[in-house]
Amino acid sequence: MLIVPRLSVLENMALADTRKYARHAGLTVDWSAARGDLEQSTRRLAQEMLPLAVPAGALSGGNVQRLSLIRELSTDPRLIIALYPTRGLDMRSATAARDLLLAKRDRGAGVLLISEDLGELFLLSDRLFVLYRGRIVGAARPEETTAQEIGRLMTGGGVAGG
Amino acid sequence: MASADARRFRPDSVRAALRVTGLFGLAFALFAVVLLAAGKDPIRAYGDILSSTLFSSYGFSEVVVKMIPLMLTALAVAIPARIWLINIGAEGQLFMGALFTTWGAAHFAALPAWALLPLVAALGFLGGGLWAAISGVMRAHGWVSETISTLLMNYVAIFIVSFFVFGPWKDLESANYPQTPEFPAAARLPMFFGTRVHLGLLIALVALTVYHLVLTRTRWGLEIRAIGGNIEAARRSGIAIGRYILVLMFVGGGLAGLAGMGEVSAIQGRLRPSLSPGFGYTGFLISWIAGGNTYGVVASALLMAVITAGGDVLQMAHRLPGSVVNILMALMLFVVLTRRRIP
Repeated sequence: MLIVPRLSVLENMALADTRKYARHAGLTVDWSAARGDLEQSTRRLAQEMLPLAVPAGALSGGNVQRLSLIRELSTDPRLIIALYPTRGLDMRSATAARDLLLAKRDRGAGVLLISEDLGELFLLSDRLFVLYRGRIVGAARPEETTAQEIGRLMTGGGVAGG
Repeated sequence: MASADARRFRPDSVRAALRVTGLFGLAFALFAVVLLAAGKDPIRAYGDILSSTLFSSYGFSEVVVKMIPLMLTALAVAIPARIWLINIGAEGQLFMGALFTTWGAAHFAALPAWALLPLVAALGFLGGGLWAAISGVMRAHGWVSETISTLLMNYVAIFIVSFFVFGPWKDLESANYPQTPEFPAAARLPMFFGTRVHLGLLIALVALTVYHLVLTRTRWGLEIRAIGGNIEAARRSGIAIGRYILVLMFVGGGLAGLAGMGEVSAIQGRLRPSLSPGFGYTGFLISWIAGGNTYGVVASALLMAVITAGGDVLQMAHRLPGSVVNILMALMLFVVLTRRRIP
């Protein structure tokens, strides 16, 4: 959720890739390109357009989360580290965000999803790793395991004396 | 709550200007108490300061002469302050700019003015810029806080200038007076309208304009505002923060160096240890009052130039020590520091 509160929504969008939006060797910024990308990414995530000129710090928590998602998923990264990506989002936005993560994976991006929402993890993941006290204590494919088993590992049930 | 909401919807700059005006009213009122305690009539004193600065053509031209270095040193502070760097070293950077300018004026004295003036201006910028960049490098590596290093290096710069003025560069013809020989005519910045207002005014105004445009229009301005607004977000966006620390310190120091260049090349015509009555420190105050705002820098520089000139008035017409205006400046710094944000 790394936005710059004092900058506007559009300026925060341009921070996704300042080199990409720079024109005339950096003397100007192509705001209409940034706006276009923002609109396109907003549509793909099935969101309402955010107000462009409003300082990002004035947005609600959910809208800040939306802005981060819209911005980060507007580019085509090779690796996405998604930490609780749908926290604070309503059902429809969360579904759209999950679909987009899957779409990015299908286009070749590696996605590291970090979450405690077991439903979301089983829905999205190709492989699950369970961390307990800083160590990986279990690995499985979602179809080969159950939420109960993962829950047991998460709470230390897989560690001797845990 | 209603009033708080009304305030929130007023444009930021208007709110800031109102706030600063109110705070200054407080500072002037407090200083009036000081004047009363010294047995002076504060209304007459303030009236005399105004009539001899803003309401006399010679007085006003001298105010503008003082505004030139003040606007440049204020920018020297304001530019690094965009990314939270605190440059207290504009005074030393001004001295190093004057030193480099003097070296250029002496070594390339044979050049015509159209070549020599840009050259010494570039040298002045380089002198102040490199001096500030030392602090920038130390900060970018995380070795020394720039607040400490720029402050301490003021003294080093002033001593270096003294070394040259009392030593190898001393003018043998001016008896025991510590100063270098006079600059060649080609290294003197032109002055206008029969006053001491010099070409440095144009340099300062161009610098202010460029500062404003870079911050608001360019990719670098966007990145600078991102670093200033949330350094962690800027870092994750791939912005090279160390590079900005270096560049902004260099550019800020360079502008203070240009202030020094203007003082030796236009006003003094030679290098003396008494080059600046603290322009660098007053510039720091101006930058903080203005909160880095471009128009605020001009307005605050005007105010500080009037107050500085007012010191002479209080000394001559009211028999107070001229340095009494330092109390007024200190009061202003205190009221300005009640602001919640850093510029």
